[in-house]
Amino acid sequence: MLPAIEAQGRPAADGIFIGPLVVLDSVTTERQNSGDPAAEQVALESAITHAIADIAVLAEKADAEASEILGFQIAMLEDEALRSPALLEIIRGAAADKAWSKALDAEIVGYELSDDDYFRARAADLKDIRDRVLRNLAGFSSQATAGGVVLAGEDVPPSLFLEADWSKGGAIALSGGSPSSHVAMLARARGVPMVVGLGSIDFTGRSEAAIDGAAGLVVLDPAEVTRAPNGKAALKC
Amino acid sequence: MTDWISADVLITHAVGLHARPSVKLTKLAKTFPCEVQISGTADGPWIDAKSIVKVMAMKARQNTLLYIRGQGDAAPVAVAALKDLVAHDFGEVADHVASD
Repeated sequence: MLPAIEAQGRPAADGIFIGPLVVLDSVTTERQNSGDPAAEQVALESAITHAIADIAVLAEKADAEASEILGFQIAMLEDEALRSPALLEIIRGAAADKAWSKALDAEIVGYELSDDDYFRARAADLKDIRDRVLRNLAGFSSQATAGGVVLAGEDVPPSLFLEADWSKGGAIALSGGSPSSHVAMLARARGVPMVVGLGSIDFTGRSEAAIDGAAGLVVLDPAEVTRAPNGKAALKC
Repeated sequence: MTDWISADVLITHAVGLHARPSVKLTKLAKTFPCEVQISGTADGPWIDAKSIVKVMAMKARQNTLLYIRGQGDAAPVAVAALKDLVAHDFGEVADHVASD
């Protein structure tokens, strides 16, 4: 087991939790270009339609705040203006997934360059939409996780947060992210401890994490954690 | 070609024309048959008020004077309705008061 390391980030949601670490992979989809623009166009339109339907199902089960966040994602996906640059790329011979990524990445950069925290945080919603459609194009469905774990990665998409079962507890530790993100709002509402901005933290080979949301503190493979019977822990490193 | 019907209104919502207000504004705009456009200046560039992608891309913040114009069937009603939505904080009055 690797020695414990402590990392300081920014607090996003209060609370303390210790549990197994689940590192989220970025979507790496390889899909064959059919070479037929008409077929690629149908593939993209169908992936978007399925994404809208899946998010709508999620929204039905969600509370008011979560369903408004998902409503925003649906409205973006339904807007012709979001997909039209991708459809244009497809006519020029691009594969559906490459064309969609390129179109969405251009939108995402626009948000990431904003000097306003709120608008910058919307980049996470656009990435969520992008990756959901890419997963549909590649033919695999969601990354839904069991509860009771520490979700770690560069960022956690809002729809993944809503698909996870938080009734068994859990926490979120992100190298990127933002306290203004939709996931941070949801985490605060649900009492899920969350730390963002951990920067160069390396989750590789780590199996457990302890989180103090209010302090913005994360300890990987904690050695000296006082475990309480309820699964919560007092952090000491 | 009929003339554009225009109005302007101050965005008072605490975080500006963000996700939820943009959803409400575009949904309302889509209920009208006419063209409805918005801009951050009186001279444009004008963007389609029915496209959330374009409305969000404006990144209009609190205290931005929003210009609204419409042309075609029911344009005066559409412009008045959009102005009313923005003037009343997109129906998020409680949020706004809490953040004051």
